[in-house]
Amino acid sequence: MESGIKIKNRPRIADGLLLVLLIILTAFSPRFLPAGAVGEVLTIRTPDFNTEIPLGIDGRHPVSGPLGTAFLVVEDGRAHLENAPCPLKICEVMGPIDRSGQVIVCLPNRIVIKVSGQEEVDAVSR
Amino acid sequence: MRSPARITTLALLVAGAFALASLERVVPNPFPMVRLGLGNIMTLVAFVTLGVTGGVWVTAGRVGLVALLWGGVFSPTAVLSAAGGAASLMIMVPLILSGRFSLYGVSMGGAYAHILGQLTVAVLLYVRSPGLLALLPIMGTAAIATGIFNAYIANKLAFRLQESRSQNPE
Repeated sequence: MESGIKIKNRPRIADGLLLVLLIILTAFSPRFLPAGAVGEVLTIRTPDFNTEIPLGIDGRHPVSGPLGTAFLVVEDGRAHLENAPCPLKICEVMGPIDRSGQVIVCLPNRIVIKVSGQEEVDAVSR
Repeated sequence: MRSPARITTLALLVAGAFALASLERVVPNPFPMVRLGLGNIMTLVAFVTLGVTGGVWVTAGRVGLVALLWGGVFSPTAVLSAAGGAASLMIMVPLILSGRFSLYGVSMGGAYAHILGQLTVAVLLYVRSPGLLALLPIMGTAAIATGIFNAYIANKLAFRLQESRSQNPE
């Protein structure tokens, strides 16, 4: 039988260096993110329709995808998803969002919600 | 070489990886946004017992079988699973061939590459906004922890396999 690869079964120096590198990458990753100003508009993309709602008005909006309906809750200028029908619920922990560029994504349910700032809306309306 | 023993071991590892990956989808998870990536244990064992090609086959087999059974071949879930599998192999194979890493480094690198590959493909194909990378701190921390855990299990398994093989030579 073709032999496999001989490998030490204890951690080595290179493993430790890799661990440090990954910890640094993880710790500093928020710095590479688009951290815009507080946004004004939520852009909602689903398989059936695209729409925009203001972030300034509190509300509870049903958002449907192939798996079912989740609720987009807007409260005090921030938005998050509730009652998501997807298995992993990553979309629920991605909220609340309120800064432009921030997103809530539910890939299994094909929903993308994004915050846009006032500037972008102005640019479109001018 | 395609000895029957090699094919049998490969088939067992693919089946084990598929079972572990499926188990992870069925069993309720208190931290649903974090995946353990238990299937990768079998890929690590394959690297040690069968070599690099064995590990590549185990990952490819797992991704293919999971896509067939869970949610369709071109569903976002399957596409992301394939992206993660491909990215993790692209890192794990060079790490193991370098000869400087134990399974701990290979497993951590693979787990981290898995989430980076998934997030990148998700941004490019589905989300079209880099805001998704906000998940990196939580997913990266989880990848490091699960990578170490999987390497620990894989070490034990690979050691047992080699022990039993030396007692029962072909």
